[in-house]
Amino acid sequence: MQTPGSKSDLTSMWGVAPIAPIHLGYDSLAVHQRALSGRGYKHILLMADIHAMMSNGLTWKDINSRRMYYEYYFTQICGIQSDCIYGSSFQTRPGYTEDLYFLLSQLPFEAVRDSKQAGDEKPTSAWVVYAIMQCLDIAHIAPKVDLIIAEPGQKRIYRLLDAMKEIKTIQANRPLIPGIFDISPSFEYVDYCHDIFGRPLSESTSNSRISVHDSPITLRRKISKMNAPEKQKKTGERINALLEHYKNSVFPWNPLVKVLAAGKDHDYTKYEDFELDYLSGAIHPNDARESLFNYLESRLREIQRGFEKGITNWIDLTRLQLPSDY
Amino acid sequence: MRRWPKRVLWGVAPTGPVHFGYAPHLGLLRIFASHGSEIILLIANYHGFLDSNKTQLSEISKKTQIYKQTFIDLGVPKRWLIETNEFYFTPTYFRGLMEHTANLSAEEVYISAKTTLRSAAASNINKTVGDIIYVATQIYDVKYLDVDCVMSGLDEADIYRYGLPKLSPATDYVYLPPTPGLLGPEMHSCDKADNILPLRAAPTQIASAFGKSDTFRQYHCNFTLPLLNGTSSAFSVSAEIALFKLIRGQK
Repeated sequence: MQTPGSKSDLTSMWGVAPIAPIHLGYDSLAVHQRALSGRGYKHILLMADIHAMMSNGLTWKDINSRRMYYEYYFTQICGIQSDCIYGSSFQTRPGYTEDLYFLLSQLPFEAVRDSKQAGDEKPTSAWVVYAIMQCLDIAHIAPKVDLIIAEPGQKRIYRLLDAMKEIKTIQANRPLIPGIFDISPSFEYVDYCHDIFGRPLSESTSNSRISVHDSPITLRRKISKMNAPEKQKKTGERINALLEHYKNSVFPWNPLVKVLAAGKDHDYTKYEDFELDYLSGAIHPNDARESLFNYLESRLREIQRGFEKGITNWIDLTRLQLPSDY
Repeated sequence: MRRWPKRVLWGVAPTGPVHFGYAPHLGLLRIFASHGSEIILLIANYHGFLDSNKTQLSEISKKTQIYKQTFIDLGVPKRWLIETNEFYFTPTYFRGLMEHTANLSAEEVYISAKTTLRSAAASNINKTVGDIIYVATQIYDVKYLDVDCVMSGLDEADIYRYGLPKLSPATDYVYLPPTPGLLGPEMHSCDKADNILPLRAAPTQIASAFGKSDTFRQYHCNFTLPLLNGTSSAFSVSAEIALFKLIRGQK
C-alpha cells in the first residue's frame, strides 16, 4: 500500500522537441528514464511540439508527424513507462498563455538572453519565449513536478526559474500562476551520448551519429570509423565511442552480452566487467567492433520493424545513409 | 483605378485618455468604410500591458471599456471593435504567433520599435521579453486578422516596415504623422493632461485648443481636414465644427 510522501507520489518529467530523425545519442537519456519507474516515479514524457515549431521553422503539419514518431519510439520501442503529454495540449490553454504573457512582461530581456547557449548572441523572438515556456511548463503540466530530467545544456534555461522567483517580490498580489513561484523541482542532468568520433553530440552530423534508420552497410561503416583507442577510455578530448556505445546502446538493452575475442566467447551481464576486460587488453577494439555491429544491427532491425507504416513517411531515409565517399 | 482594401486594421492600445491625435485615423477609417472596406479597430489591450506595463494588468478591462465606449459614443459601429484578448489566448493564435516568431530576430524586433517602446524611451525602465513579444504580436496580428491594409501612426511605421515583408501575402499600409500636442510636439496617451485634448472634445474645446497651439491648429486645418474631405476648402463651417462632425461621421 502506498503511503503519503512515498516515492509513488513523486512525478518526474523529461521534455523533448520532436524535430529530426532519432539517433542513438538519446540512449543515455532513454536508459535513465526507463529506470525511473523502478525508483517509484510517475514519469511524464513532454512532447514539446510547439517548442519544436518555434525552434526550427517547421510548420504545424511537419510537427504532427514528428511527435507521433517520437512518442512511439520512446514509449513503445524504448519502453519508457510514462504519460506522454503534447505541449500543445496545455500550452494553448488561456490560463497558460495568460501566465506566459505575464512572465514575458516582467522578465528582463538580459536574463533570458543569458540562458541562451554561449556563442549564439542573436536569439530569435521565438527563442526568448521558448526558454520561458520551458520553465512555465513545469507549473502547468502536472499539479507538481518533483524531478526534471534534462541534458546539461538545459541548465542555462532552468536558471530562469530563479529570475521568475524574483518576480514574486514585486507582484506577490497577482492572482495568476498559482504556485509557479514556489517551483523547486530537483534536476538530474544526463549527458547525451557522443558521436562515433567521441565528440559531443552538439558537434555531430548525421554522418557521425548512428541513426535508428541506418542500413547495415551504413552502420558497419560508422562502427569501423568509431574512435576506439586500445586499452583507453579516451584520446585527448575525445571519449572512446566504442565503449560508450556498449554502455548505453548495448548493455541496457540485452541481459547477456557475448563478445568474441581471440576465438573465445566472453559473456557479460554488466558493462563494468566488459570495460575492465577492454582496458586490460583482453578485448581488442576490432573484436569489440564486430560484436557491437551484431548487437546494434539486430537492435536497429527490430526498431525499424517496429515503426508502423506512415510514422516515418516524413523522413528521407536515403539521405540518412552514409555517402559512399565519406 | 486604385483598388480599395478589403480589410483595414487600425490598432490602438488603451493606455491613457482617448485623445485627439486619433482624429485623422478615425476619419480615414470612415472613408475606407464608405468605399466598402471592412474595418477592424483593434483595442490592443494586451499591448499596453506588454509594453513595460503602460497599462497594469488590473486596469486592462476598465481601460478597454473606456476606449470601446468612447468610440461607440463617437458613432463607431460595434462590429468594427475587437479586443486583442478576444483572440490572444486562443490555440490558433498562440500557435501561429509562435510559428511566426521563429522568423523574427529579437534584436531587430526591438530596434524596429524604438520609437514606441516605453523601455526604449526611458533609461530607468528595463527592457523585458514582453517588449519583443508585444512587437511580434503587432506584426502577427496583421496576418491573423487577415487584413490587406494596416494603418498606424508614423511612430510605428518601422515596426511594419520590418515586419510586413515577412508576412504573406503582401499588405498595404498607411502611416499618419503624429498630431501635435497642445504644449509639446506630439500628443500621446501617456502625456500629462495639459498636453492632451480628448477625442470627444466639444467644438468650443477644439477652438480653445486652436488658441493654445497654432501648430495644433495648423495640423488639423492643413492636414486632417483636407485628408478627410479631399480638399482644404470643402467645409463650409468653422474648422472646429468640421472636425467635431468628421470625428462622429456626421455630414
